[in-house]
Amino acid sequence: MRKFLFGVSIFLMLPFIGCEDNKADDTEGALQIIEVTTDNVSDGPYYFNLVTGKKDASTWHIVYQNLDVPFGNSVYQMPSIALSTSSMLNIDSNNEFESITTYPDASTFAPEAGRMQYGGPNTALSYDMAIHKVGVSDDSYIIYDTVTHKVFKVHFDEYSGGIVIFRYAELID
Amino acid sequence: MRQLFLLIIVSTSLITGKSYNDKISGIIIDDNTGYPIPQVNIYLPNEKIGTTTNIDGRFVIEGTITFPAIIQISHIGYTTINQVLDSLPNQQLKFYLKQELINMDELVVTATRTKRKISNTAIATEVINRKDIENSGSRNVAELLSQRAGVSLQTSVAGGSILNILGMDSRYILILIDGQPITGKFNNRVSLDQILTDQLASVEIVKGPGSSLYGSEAMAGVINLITEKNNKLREINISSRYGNTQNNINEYGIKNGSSNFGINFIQPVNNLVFDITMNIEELQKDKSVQEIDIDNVKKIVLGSNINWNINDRNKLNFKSSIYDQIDNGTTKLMNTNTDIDRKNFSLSNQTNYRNGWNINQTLLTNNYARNYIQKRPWGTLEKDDLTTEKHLEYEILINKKNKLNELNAGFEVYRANYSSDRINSGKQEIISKSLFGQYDLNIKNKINMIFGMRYDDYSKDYRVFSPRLGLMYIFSEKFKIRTSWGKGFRAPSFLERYIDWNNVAFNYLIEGNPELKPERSNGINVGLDYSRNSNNQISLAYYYTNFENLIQDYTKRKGVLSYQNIYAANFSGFELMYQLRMSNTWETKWVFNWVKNRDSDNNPIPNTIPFSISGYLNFNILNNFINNSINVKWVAPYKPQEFDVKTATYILSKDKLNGYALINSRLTIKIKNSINLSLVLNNLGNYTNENYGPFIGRAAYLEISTKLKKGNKE
Repeated sequence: MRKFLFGVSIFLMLPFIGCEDNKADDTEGALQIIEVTTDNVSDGPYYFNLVTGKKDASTWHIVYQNLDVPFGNSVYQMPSIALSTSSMLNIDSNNEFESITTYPDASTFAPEAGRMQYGGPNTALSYDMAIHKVGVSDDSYIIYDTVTHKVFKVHFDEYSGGIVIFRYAELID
Repeated sequence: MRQLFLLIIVSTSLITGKSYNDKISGIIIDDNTGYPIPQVNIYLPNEKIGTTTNIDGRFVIEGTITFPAIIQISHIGYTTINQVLDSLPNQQLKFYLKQELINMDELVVTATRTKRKISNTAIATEVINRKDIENSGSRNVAELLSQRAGVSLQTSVAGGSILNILGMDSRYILILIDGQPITGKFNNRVSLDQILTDQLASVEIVKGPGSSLYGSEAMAGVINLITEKNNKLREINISSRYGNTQNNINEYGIKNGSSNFGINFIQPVNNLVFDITMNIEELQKDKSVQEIDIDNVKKIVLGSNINWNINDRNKLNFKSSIYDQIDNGTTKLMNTNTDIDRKNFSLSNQTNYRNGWNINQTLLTNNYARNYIQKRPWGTLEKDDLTTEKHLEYEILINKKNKLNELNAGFEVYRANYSSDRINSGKQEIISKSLFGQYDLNIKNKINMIFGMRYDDYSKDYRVFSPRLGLMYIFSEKFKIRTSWGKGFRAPSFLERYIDWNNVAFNYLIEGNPELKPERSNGINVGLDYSRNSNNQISLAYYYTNFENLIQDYTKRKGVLSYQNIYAANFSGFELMYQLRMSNTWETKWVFNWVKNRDSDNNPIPNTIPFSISGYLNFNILNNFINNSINVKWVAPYKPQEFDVKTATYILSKDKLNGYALINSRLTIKIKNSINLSLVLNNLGNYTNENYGPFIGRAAYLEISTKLKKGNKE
């Protein structure tokens, strides 16, 4: 019976299968994409150096920490992402993370200035009060290190219980 | 001497045409299915004697009968037969009863707690019957109700569903199963996606405050889910289905679909009728709320309903329902497991006395447990929360009927235990005692009045008095007007009173408020019914309900949230319903709903859908070989709610959501007499909204079902 049901279902689903997107990525092989799992933000700020690919509290580009956020008469601690002052930011909301292979013109970079922090216009982490869940942005963040003049693309994939997974890759023009 | 006496009697009977100790026997058969019908009323009006058919549809009626005699054969849902018998039949009679075209005057129980015809009660009640449920193509009660105008489905923290009915949160609507409360609410609401439609015989919806009969939570209405099928024939129903959504197929392939297998077995044994149900459902990547990371959901339902007609006066009923749900979610960062167990058992005894008094006693126990585990993929246990709830209740209902009037009065006492890691002291208990009464007064079959009241005593905490008045006036066979007024309340939940929980991730504390008062409502309904004939009916209803003391969370001090009674609101609206059965093969039903909900400052209440239309068209073609049902729902543009970070409150969104339509279709082909194959296509327009729902786009499932009746077909 299960086989029969399955068989008939496949037949009926064929029109749907025909709509499937083919998202094969032929550019991914060109860049080395690295996945990072942070520590739990409740244990303290997490600093990451994109150039060395290591957690580093002294020389870093990305910090993941709790921010005091006022809600009404109260203050909550919300997880937030920020950049170091030596980093400049460009936000790509139009392209898939995997498809970004080149970096934009240098004039398009600007200080982070709270844009990707909690409550910012392109916040990397947001909190949905309706379902009490922290969500991650679909945006890709292009980060320019003004010290080493290297450019990285970063994408935040998942947040769960204080821990974030993000991916990054160096963009070479 | 004895011979002389007998001779006199025989002679007398010959002269007068009368006979003594006459015996008429026969069988009653469904004209459509050919199966015998049990519980048919057989009545000789002139002789005032009668009986009912047994499980095999057979009857024997004995007495002194004068010929020619009229014999009446009647049963709910069938056209009554009146036939003249010229003489005592010398063989068994055989009558074929025809099913009535449409059963708009169904029996309902919710409005009065005893079975009454819809047309005979002053409290407006809407029924979704078994056929409507099947035609809807919905898998659970949340899906079923959300197809209706004025109802929308929202998300809950747990991935379950929150129904918004007429702009009102579902925690203000009392949800019952067979008239009894459902234990195990999460976030103060019953997750209606945990109740599968395969279990249901019908759904009754009573609008307006109903606390005078049912107590807490019936602030704006009562939804009673009826599982008892009243079927007395041997029967086996088996169904199996497999389906998937277009989004899932695109992303994961067809194998990650959802399946369901159900079996229902009815077996009469002498005076006992066993009704056993089992249903297994497995959802893969098919959650109704995509925001929640649940990959696999398994639901298992085991139900039994045993009726024992001990004798003409005594009936015993035992019901059990065991529900188990396991949700598994897997992401790169967290594995979650939720195990929900619900076990309900009830034993009731009904005793009927000769003078019209009936006493019904019920003892029920409901146990609920929810265990939520969060574990990191690398093994670290993040959370292991267990919540349990135990509910033990005794109820006695006294009923007295005479020709026109009816009294229902009762007493309820229950003890509820709630234990959770999230509440103060980990465990709390409440004992409630309630007295209620309702009197239905019928004056010359023109006026029906209902007087009801209920008194609830919640231990030492608070006491609530809830009255209700109803009036129905029948102008003519076609027109009747119904109006009712009542008060309702909702007792503060255990969580609202005793929660003590620290949200570690966001560093805030939620404290319960043991001083909370019950939320109160005060509502009136006015309705006009027009029935052109038994197949054509229009009803228009207006309702207005005022709410006070509504419970809302607030910031008690820096970093601490709590609850208080601050909120007031009034909800009003019109509902127009139209039902038509054009023939045995075509029927349609439409509901138009208009809602105006305001808070105490006369500001619109977010998430209120001001106007919506729902309807279905059902038709059979090729001599019932193919049945097609199309369900449509259109929702007008409305303003949802959004969270305002500055004030930490939910506010009305500035932007309206565009109107949208949902279309579902069910096509059923009769392969054999007892085997049906159905194809269900839901959300044909593939409309989704990732913020406010519906979250699932176009979906389809295929179902094969069989109904095997073991009675002897005539």
